[in-house]
Amino acid sequence: MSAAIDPLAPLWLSAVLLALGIIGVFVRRSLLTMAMSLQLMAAAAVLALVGFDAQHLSVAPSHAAPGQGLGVLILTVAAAQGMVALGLVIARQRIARRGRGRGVSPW
Amino acid sequence: MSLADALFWLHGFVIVAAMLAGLTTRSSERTSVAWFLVGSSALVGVFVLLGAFVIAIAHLLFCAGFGLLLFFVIDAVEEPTGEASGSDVSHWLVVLLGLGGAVFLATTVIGLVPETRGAAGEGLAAVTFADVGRTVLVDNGLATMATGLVLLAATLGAGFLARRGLD
Repeated sequence: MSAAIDPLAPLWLSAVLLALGIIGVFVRRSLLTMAMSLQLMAAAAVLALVGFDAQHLSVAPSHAAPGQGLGVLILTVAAAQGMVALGLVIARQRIARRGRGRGVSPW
Repeated sequence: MSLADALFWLHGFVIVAAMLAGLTTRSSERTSVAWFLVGSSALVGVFVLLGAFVIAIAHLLFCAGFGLLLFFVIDAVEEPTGEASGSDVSHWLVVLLGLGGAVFLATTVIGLVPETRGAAGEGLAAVTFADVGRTVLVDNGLATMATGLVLLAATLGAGFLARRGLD
């Protein structure tokens, strides 16, 4: 990481993003927005890991990048949970459409 | 405050502003545009600033794929609420797309300025795909396998959930 960037700056930004994601999950009622908030929280975790990684590389240069490796894994898991969330949204919509005539709640 | 520091906080401001705009609007389309076009492109710029080029590319691909899928689901699922007129939505889209394009341009410029090019600016060994691949597949092989299984289970589960409404 460039020495000009404060090592704590990525962590502050990550904390703000995590807080916004938590607010989105608890405040918004839309399932789609809640899923997007979860993606935002995952991105905040990746940013924190990359920040730690950059700090580690600036102190002890090496070819190992554990933070970025874990970041790739977190992005993979985020993609998986995003797919499940979108599948839930589609299933909920179909159940709601089918039960609308019978007065059935989707949940 | 150096150039890299200023660029970092500029991108951070764009990210937080896009996330706040997405949180305060009631439309899922606007939220997804604000978060997955503007916020994520600025986040890619932050990753470039921090020297994490692999994560930047992975995040860009992830957001492009998830964003496209999200737009498809929103289009298929959501019914028009009538709370926002068409011109209002298109105005928002134009503004946000312009911001996203500006952030992409800034990210490209960052990559061209040597002193802001993350790890390369300090003479450190830039993390390459081979380094990340070694970390992921060799040092954390078990975690990678477990993640692959989770991804497979999630894919099957999402397909099952999406088909369930048809039966």
